[in-house]
Amino acid sequence: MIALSCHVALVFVTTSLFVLMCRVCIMSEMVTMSSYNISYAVYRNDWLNLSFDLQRDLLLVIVRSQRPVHTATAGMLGNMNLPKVTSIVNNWYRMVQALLNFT
Amino acid sequence: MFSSQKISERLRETLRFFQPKPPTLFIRLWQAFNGYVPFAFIALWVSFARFDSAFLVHAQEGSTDPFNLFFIIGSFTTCFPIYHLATGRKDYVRVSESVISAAVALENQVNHKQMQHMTKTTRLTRKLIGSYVFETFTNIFMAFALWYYSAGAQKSFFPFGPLYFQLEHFVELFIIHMGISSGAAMLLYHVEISICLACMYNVVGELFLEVCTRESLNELIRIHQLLLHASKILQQTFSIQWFAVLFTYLLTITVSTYITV
Repeated sequence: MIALSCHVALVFVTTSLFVLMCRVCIMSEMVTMSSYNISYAVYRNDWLNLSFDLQRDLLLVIVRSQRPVHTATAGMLGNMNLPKVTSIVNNWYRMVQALLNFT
Repeated sequence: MFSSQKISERLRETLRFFQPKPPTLFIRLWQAFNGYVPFAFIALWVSFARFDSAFLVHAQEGSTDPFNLFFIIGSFTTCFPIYHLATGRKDYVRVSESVISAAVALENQVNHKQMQHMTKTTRLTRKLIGSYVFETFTNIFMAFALWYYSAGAQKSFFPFGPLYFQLEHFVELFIIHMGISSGAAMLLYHVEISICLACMYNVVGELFLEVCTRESLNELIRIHQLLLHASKILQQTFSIQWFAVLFTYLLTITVSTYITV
C-alpha cells in the first residue's frame, strides 16, 4: 500500500511538473513566433511605393525582428520552448529505458 | 493611415488578456482551482497516504517526531516563494508597465477614448502583484505559527487524540498546497504576461502591414522597442526565478517522498 502510494504520488508530481513546464514553453514559443512574424509583416507592406528613408528604416526593423525573442531562459538549460520539451521527453525516455535495461 | 475600427477591435481583444480581474474572493477561489488542480491532487493524495501510515505509527509507538520534522521542511518550503517575489516583483512591474505603455501608444494611434481605461489597468496590475506579496507573507506567517504550535505546545493545543491527527492532517494539507501554489503564482503570472506580449506583437505586426507615413513608422518602431524591452526583462526575471522554482519543487518532492515512505 505504501509503495503504491509512493508511485502514485511520484506520477502526480511528474505530471504536474510536465504540465507546468509545457505551459511555460508554449507561451515562450508563442512570443518568439509572434515577434518573428513582424519581419514578414514588414516585408508584406507596400514598401515599393514608400520613400527611400522609410524603406531604409523598415530594413532595420526587419533585421531586428529576425533575431528570436525568448521570454523564458532556464539558467544553464537554455531557452524554454517546444524543441526543449521534445528534448526533455526524449532524454527522459532514454533514461527510463536505460534504467529498465540495467535492472 | 490605419483602419481605426479594425485595430480598436483587436486592441480590445488584447486588453482583455492583461486586464486583471477584480480581487474578489470568488474569483480568487476560481483562479486557485483552475490553476492549481494538479497540485491539489498531489496534496490530497499525499495527505491521505500520510494520514493512514502516521496514525498507525503513532498508535503503536506514541512518537510524534516525524510531524515536527515535516513542519520544519514545510515551513522552509513556504519560505522560498518569498525569494521569487523579492527578486521578481519590481521586474514584473516594469514588464507590465512596458506592455501597458505599448498598448497605450497603440491606443493613441487609433483613438483617445480608452486612455482612462488603460490607466486603470496599470493600477490594477500593481494591485494584483501586491496581492501576491500579501498572500505569500500570510502563508509564511501561518506556516511558522502552526509549526510553533505543533512543535512546542502540541499536546496542550490539540489535546484530543483522533482530533489532533485530523487537525494536523488538515494543517499539512494547507501548508503543502499553499507552499506550492505560492511558488507557482509567479510562474502563472509569467505565462499571463507572455500571452499579452504575444498579442501585442501580433497587433504591431498588423499595424506594420499598413504603415505608410513617417509619423506612424516612428510610433511603431517605438512600440516595437518597448515590446523588445519588456521581453528582455521577462527573460531576465525568469532566468533568476527558475532556480528558486526548481528548489521549491525539489523540496516538495522530498517532503512527498518522506511522507509516503
